[in-house]
Amino acid sequence: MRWLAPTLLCLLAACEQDRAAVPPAERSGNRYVGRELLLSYGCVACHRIRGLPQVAGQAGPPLERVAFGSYIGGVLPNTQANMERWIMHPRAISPGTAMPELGVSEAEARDMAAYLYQQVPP
Amino acid sequence: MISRRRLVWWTVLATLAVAGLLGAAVAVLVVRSGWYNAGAMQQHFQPTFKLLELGLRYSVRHHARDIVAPPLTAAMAQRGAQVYAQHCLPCHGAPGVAPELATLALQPSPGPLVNMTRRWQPNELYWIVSNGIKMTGMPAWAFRLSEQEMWQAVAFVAALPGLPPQEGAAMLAEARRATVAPPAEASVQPDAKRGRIALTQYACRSCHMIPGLPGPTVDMGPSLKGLAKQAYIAGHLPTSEDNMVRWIRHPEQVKPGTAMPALQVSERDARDMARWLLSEQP
Repeated sequence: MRWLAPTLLCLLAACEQDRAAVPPAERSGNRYVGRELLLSYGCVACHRIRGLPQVAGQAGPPLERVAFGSYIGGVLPNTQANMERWIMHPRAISPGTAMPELGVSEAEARDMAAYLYQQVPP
Repeated sequence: MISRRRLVWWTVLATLAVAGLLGAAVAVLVVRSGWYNAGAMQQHFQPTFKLLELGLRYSVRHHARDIVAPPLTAAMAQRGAQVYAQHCLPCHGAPGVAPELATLALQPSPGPLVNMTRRWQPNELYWIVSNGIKMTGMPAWAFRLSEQEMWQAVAFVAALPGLPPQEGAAMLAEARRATVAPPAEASVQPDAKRGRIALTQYACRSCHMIPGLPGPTVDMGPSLKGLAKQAYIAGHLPTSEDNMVRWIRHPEQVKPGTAMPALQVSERDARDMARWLLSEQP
């Protein structure tokens, strides 16, 4: 009987989701390390991220559904490699963007991307 | 002992409840199994089609009841030919003129308009042109054409039955060569309610999820939830109504390389959208 409630809910609500733009098989990095990095670089000061504390009044877009987005920063196709590039050097990709260069290393960017991509969308 | 009356009531209620549950179960089964063919190769059953047509008639009659049609003159029809040639012809064709190939298989078929004045009153035709018809290919023209242009199109449709096909086709060919100057924009106060509708009329919801606007789950562009509280628009412009208008109208100028296209949004429509997005949005 344990399956009954979720099944009914699934039937009633929309349980069918599109596939993520970056599926699990194409992701890399350590999401547990990534979580700590997202916190220490202060990403939550501007972005809403699931499972991390929220700050009121944000500068950047919410990132809960980032695994499903078609583009990163509105300009790059959403892939693991591009996400790492974007986190490291947003201003090289989109000059004039409010997203700052924070001196993130490649390994760090990979782990941060890993955490961002595994968020379960609301 | 339960009185006879109560027993009757309980039986009625229980029967209704069981029937309702059974109906719901069948509905869930039909939807979930995927038996329904959503393709456009299979038309509705004839009775379904009839019912939809009937519903459409009553709906349009009801919603157009307060619209007063101006006298439809020959001069209006003449100018209406230009509107028709540009906007109606691709899907509806005209007597002796085929619609564009891609639109021929639309379901429901847009169909000819020569007989429309025998089905609808002019005010009803105007309402259809202005509001479009949901779940058909018929778009609302209220955000593309002026009221005057829409009445001119109605005047042309009303004139169609009296035109020999050859004459009508010639008139449309002539009209197609003429260039129509876009009507001058009146400057008016931004209207948030109108802005909400404008967002649907420029297909914003096809790429963005927008709280307060029903539509698909989509992440082509970012969700616009909490936009009013965000410090920057598209990561480039400090959030303000003026900047929002600028971004909506000319995204490429603000952020080179952006996936957000310029959608030929008029100044007025962009103002209204910005007003709704930054203030009244739930």
